[in-house]
Amino acid sequence: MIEILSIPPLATVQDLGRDNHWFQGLGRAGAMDPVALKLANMMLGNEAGAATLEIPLSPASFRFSEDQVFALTGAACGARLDDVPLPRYWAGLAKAGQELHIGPFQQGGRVYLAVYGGVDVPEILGSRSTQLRESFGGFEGRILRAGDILKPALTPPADFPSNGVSISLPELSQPRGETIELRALPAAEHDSFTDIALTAFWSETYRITPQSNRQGYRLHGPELTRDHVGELRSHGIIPGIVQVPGGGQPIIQLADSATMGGYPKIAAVISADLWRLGQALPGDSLRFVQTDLDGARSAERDMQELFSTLANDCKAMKRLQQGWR
Amino acid sequence: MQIETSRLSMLGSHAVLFTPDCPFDLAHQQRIWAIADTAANWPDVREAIPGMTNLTLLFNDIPQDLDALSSQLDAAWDSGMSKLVEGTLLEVGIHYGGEGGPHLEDVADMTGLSVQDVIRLHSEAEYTVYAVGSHAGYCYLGGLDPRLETPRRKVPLTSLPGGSLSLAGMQTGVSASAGPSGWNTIGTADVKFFDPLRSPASLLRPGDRIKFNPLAVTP
Amino acid sequence: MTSEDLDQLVTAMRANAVSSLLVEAPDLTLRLVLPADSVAPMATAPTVVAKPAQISAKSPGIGTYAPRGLDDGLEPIVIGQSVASGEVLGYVALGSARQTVCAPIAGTLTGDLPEAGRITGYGDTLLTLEPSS
Repeated sequence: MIEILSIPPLATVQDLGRDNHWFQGLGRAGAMDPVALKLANMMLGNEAGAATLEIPLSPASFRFSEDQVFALTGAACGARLDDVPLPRYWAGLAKAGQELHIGPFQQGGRVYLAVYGGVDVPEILGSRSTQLRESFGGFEGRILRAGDILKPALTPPADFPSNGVSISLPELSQPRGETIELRALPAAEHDSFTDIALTAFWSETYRITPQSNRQGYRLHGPELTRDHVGELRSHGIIPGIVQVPGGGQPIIQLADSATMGGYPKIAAVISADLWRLGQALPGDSLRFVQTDLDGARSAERDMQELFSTLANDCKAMKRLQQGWR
Repeated sequence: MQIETSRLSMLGSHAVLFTPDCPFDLAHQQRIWAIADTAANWPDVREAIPGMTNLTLLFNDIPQDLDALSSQLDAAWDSGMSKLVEGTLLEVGIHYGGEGGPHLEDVADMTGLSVQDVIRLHSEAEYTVYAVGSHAGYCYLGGLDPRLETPRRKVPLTSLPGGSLSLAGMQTGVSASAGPSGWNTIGTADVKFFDPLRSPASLLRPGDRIKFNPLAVTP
Repeated sequence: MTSEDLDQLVTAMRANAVSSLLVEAPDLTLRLVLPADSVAPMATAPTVVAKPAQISAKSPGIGTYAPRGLDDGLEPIVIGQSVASGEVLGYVALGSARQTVCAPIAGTLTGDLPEAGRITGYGDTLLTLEPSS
């Protein structure tokens, strides 16, 4: 078991999300940074989409009631196991009684804590993700709080490398303060915005405002006005869509996005870049880079190649480690 | 024969929005339901979800050929096929106005009607569930009296409780859970529109009908 | 362990006036004892002997050495720094996957830092520590 000693608001249990219920109006939920979630599970040898903790704020602390293996990915957070500092993107052993402390984020916006076999919570409607708006899934359908006891789904293996394993991620390290580039496709109302608005949207930076959460980020930057206005009939929307309400400041829908909306849509961030927003914080700057479906396909291929390289390297290392015993 | 144009636009790398140029009425919505059923069987389509006289397709993979997809959708729409649904009728008691309906007077002002007329026009009509979405179990309803048409609010509310009755544009509905809203809220109801442990989890489906009955009015 | 490794060890023992050496690894124990006359006396021998025993942080596997503090959210290490038992001191990388090189005891880092990219084998000493008193 892992006991939560302290945790800030809005930490939840998430997996890769709940598909196939858009028709009932139920959004996907799921990790804001699916890349970090998958890598945490990969280092442990879990299924890629096993349920993990998503921790969007710090500090947090946990106590292991017996020997466990766990993985930490996502934000650089000054994590310590008792007094020993832990690297970012690390998986290893905790002894019974040891405490894990997550400190201030130095880079990135969300930490993923994975345990062996995933966090043991019931699967509801095809997923273990917390559906915050509808109050079900994850851990009792709610955000986590101090005193909650989390159970790994499987007993840890005896042969997990005692020193721990880590992965190097040059592609995923983005220095704090650098503008985050998001590749996006023009959406339905794109051409109804003024030339000035379109030039600004595709070249200037937008800042993430504090009015941002798992549902979406409200941005602040050059005001976006349209040549012709008018109410739209409500239509499907998905995570990554960039809407512009009457105020002229864009909103990006994210993991807990609504399934339908009615605001004009200027662009849609491609799926392969959504994880970058999961690691962004209020105050960070974004820039939208126009792409097309070929660009989206190539971005997805790059991501798949990165995953298969990492998976192969992890497997090769594991084979060698087992060879030493 | 009327010449109709439609648009196919991207909602993401794995999703498109099909928007036929058509009047907002039940006959056209029934055609949307029909092509949603058809498109749901196309290879690689994960889900086909009716919107308000539009259709969203979610894909497993990034679509390869948008032109071919566009032609397929146009052909399905132009065939004029239609899906008639024998839906159930749900009667919903509403408390109009008060704390749970903070924009009732705004709606009266915006429409030039009295508060009493807003309530009368809103509760006399029988509404059809055109689409389910926004949040789980939420029903987009057709059948609003055109005299009740109002613009969305410029700044959305960050949280509105579940059971809130709102309207905007030519649409009205009751929220199924607490969440943000850009609509004008005029009352409250006590109905469980979504229950993850119920099958199906969503209480109503496209084609079902709703009638609002005024239980109380707080001006 | 190859015969070349053995030769290197014996040469090192002679050069450092060490007459007996115990090597322990998870899968082997090796005791080397040299006749007294084969060991060269060293001018500085007394000061070396006076130093507290040094403990090695060894490579957990085959790969290239990567220092900590580049992309892992940790501060780079410096010689003379105190570290906790079990603390990650660096990595041995195989492609993008890497095992951690951990401090076997609490202590102070001595000697030299390994060069980044150095090819190491299982059990190679990468860093040395003087135990905390």
